[in-house]
Amino acid sequence: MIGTLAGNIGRFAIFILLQALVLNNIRLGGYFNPYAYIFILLALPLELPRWANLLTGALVGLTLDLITRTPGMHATACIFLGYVRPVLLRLLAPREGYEFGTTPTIRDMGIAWYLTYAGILTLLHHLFLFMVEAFSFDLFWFTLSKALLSSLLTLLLLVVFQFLLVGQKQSN
Amino acid sequence: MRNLINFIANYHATFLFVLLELMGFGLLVTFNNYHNIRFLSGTAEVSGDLYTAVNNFTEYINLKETNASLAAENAALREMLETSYTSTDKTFLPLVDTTLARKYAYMPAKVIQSTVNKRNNYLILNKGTSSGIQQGMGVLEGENAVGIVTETSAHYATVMPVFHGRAKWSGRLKNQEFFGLVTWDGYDPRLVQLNDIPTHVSVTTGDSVVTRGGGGVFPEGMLIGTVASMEEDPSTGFYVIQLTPATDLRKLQYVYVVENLFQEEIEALETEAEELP
Repeated sequence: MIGTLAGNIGRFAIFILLQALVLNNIRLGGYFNPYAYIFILLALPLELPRWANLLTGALVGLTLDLITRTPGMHATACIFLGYVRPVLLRLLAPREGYEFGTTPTIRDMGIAWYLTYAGILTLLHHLFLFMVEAFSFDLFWFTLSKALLSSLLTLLLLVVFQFLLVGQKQSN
Repeated sequence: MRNLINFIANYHATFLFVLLELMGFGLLVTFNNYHNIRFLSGTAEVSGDLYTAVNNFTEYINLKETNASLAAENAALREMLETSYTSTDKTFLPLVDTTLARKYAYMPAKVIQSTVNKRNNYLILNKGTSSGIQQGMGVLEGENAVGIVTETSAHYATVMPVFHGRAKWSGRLKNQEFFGLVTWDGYDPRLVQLNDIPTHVSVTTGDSVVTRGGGGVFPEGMLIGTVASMEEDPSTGFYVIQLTPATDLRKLQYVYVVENLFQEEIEALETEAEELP
């Protein structure tokens, strides 16, 4: 329990800094703006109650908003992510439910499950975020393509971080 | 009553979601207004310190380019010196002319953080109110217009460049009297738009667009960009002119904050004019 909490706080610190200092400076033709900090929210425990998902989302989003000076932009997108995540987890649950002690990682759930889970949530989060950023439908297709391309890059980064931070399945 | 409580208990997540989103959008709407952009000035100190630490490192990487641009500016300044001129006439032209009152004061500052790939971009400077920087001052890089100071804390200031949804700069075609609004449509960070130029004006690619200097933020004649292409919009009778901006935000390191020493006078006159019946 303490270990889980410490792990989440550690991920929070690492990914907020990574996002603010490194990822926000990625400039690939203006189309790719990866927001891999959502790793913090995706890695939360499976059994986390819905209200806690929402509040964690608000906390993470607001923290990044303070650093990047975009009040409300990341907060609203992360709250939305916090709302959708438990619903998606229920839909993606195995027939007999999640085993006790499993985490939403490639190690525990497999690559196919993780790609579905992270892919859907990343796409929803990015669509929401880019629409809020544009704050109008003037540039609809431009915003949409930006969101799609950025989602792909974010998903790639999420998988890389899965292998870097979570490690491989222990052979027992 | 019990039904109501059950209903709320069953849907507590949705209620909380709606509540939190309302608060989030409240923040968004309140602080994204141009005039309310002074968002949480206290937090600027924290994020400013963070970005300074990173900038101390990245500065080394750009040292060569920075040197080149500073050397170029030094050369330009040296050209203005008295020693760079030989008198072609018997009458000596004094450099300190008492018939001229000083209108602008310049203060050097360093850019410690900038965004370029957002819809609304900004810069953070390493100087704030303790160095005399105020909201509404102009920011220049040499002779190029960079942005306008939007919020300040004790040691940092945020600058809104033209690459922002709410930036509206008054730009004038150099050598002509026609002026229009320079804005950014959000598509391409290498192109900004000049609007309101009627189609009977002769515009050619490569023409300079400079600041009008009317609002007192920028001195007159600072370069905003050069005309990259223009298109006639038959429905309005105006040109849609694409400009290549004069400054590259990605490479921006050292800038000058401009203080208009007559700004108070201009503003006083403006409020007086508004109060007239």
